[in-house]
Amino acid sequence: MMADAEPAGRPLLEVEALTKHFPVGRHLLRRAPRHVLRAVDGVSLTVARHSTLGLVGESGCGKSTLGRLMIRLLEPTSGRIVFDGIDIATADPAALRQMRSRFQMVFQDPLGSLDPRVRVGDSIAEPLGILGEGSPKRNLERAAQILSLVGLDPSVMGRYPHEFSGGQKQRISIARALIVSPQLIVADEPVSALDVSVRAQIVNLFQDVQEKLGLSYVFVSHDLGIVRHVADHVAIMYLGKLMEYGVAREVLREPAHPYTRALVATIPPPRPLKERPRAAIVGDLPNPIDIPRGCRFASRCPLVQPICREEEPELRALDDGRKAACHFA
Amino acid sequence: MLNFILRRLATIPISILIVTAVTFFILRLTGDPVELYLDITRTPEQEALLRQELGLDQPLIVQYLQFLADIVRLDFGRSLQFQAPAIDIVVQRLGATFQLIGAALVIALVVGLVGGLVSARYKDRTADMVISSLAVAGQSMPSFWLGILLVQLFALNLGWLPTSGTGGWQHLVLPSVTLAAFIAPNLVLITRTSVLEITDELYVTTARSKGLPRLRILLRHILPNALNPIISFFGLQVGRLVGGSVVTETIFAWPGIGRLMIGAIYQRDVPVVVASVIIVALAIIIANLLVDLILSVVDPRIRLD
Ligand SMILES: Nc1ncnc2c1ncn2[C@@H]1O[C@H](COP(=O)(O)OP(=O)(O)OP(=O)(O)O)[C@@H](O)[C@H]1O
Ligand SMILES: [Mg+2]
Repeated sequence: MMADAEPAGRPLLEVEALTKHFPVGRHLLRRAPRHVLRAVDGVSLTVARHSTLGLVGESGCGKSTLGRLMIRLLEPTSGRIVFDGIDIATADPAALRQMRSRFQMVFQDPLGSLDPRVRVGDSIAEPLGILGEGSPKRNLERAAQILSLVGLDPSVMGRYPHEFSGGQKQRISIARALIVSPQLIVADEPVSALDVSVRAQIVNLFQDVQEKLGLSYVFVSHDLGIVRHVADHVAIMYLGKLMEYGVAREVLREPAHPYTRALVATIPPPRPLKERPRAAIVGDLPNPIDIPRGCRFASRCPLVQPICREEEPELRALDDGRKAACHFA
Repeated sequence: MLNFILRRLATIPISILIVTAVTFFILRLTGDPVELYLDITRTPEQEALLRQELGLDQPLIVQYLQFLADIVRLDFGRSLQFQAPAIDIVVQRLGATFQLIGAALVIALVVGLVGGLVSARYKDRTADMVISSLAVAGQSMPSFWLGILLVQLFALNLGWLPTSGTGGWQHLVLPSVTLAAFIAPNLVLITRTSVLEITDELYVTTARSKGLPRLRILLRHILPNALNPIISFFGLQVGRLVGGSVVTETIFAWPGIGRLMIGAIYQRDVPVVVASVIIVALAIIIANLLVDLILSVVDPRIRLD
């Protein structure tokens, strides 16, 4: 499952200097916005074939925005998104539509991501009919196959989304993503909205599917415990930028960046001990509209030095190959 | 479903009871029936005889029960202006009102849906600004005034359409446009809001992520889901339409129930007033029941039982 095993020699997805700025507080008459919110502020990373990239960070740091940008559900402000050798950041709408089935998304909210008026069988089979593959009957058969793959009985195809539990709905969402045989699925907090008791089942489902079909995931989560379990690589994000990026096992075992270290300290240990280290990050997230000069983590960093408030550290490679954006890593 | 319909039908008598009670007591408060039937030259003997005949010497509650019993038999008495049973006259006029309201509904629906969709599609662009401003302006403009303007322009100045009355479809144009103006501006804004809301739903994003064509996404996923508030809106607006039709029929001399009612009130033709109030109330109740049924048919989440 490692990046080294790439068949084509090049990564599945390569993101370069990607930015997304949201205008906020637009003037009534003038076109120019009053401020910009730099939700994603120059992110570069790769997703290897048949592997999982975990994307971690606090709420509001831009994980969802980055996830949507990667498959161009949002228009990037600048940067390159190269999917299997093709730049989809600049692809025209027709070409993009041709490619869309190769990358899919699964969302956090299992209810909101299913059309309440469409039977789940039709919901899953819909793209097949439109993208013109087989007869309606063949398409429903295919939907039935996919449903069994995600652990649901095909007899549920005629039901509506509201008749299912959260975990079942998430299985349906996964089936709907899988029907077009994607090479990449961006899963945006796919288990956070579920009961704790079913989270593990869905996480395992993601892993089983990956093993069977050999696809790649970008797995967004703020739960480092789950990321440690599913991810091959991990990218730690803070206020729109990557703070640390590397092989998940290494980064999480021995964080190089103070922010990663603080996050790791909050993971509950595998076997609950009497005392857990808690609330290792103090202070509030700075306002993303007004990102401070220098290192953006400086205001909360326990190791902050004068240089941190002056100069923004680059994301640079360390000796063991991982990258970190800290003057002292 | 059947259960639901039966339960709703069962509430009709209660609504009717309230409507009749209000009607009855307002009528009694605003005038003595004897004055309607006998003129100034009446003798006290004639008056006493009539009071006895009409049961006016009975206690009020007995009179009300009598009034109710008549209504249940659809016996509203004879019209004072027209020499015929009041109910027959009302039923005769019902067709014209249905025609007017039906045409207005179609116009409002087309204008509202198309306007709302275009506005949502070009959100914050020129088309949206124009449509939204027109809708807001339309909301605040009294519709009867629009009716008068329309008459001035299309009937008097241009001479394209008749000012009033009935006949061919030309006669229906100005009244139905005027009546449509009672609800179309609201409908544009509601459609716009609800389409924009649904456009942000994750299942719409998902549909886009499949590379489905835009039109397909609009017709299959956005529009059906945006429909709930629009249909509910109609339920709430039926009363407004009926009120609007009274105004419109009066402006355009349209021979519907609204104009009949106004005339009957001026003439103190009580049987016709009562008959039309009850029939209109029934129609509004049934229209609301229909709206609920339609909602449950188009939305699988709504279970009526
Ligand atoms: N359409 C938008 N318009 C303006 N600002 C936006 C928009 N979408 C996101 N943002 C802002 O961009 C920043 C990043 O948001 P994003 O949803 O990507 O964060 P996130 O890491 O996914 O957070 P969470 O863990 O809460 O899901 C936030 O400050 C958010 O308010
Ligand atoms: Mg998010």
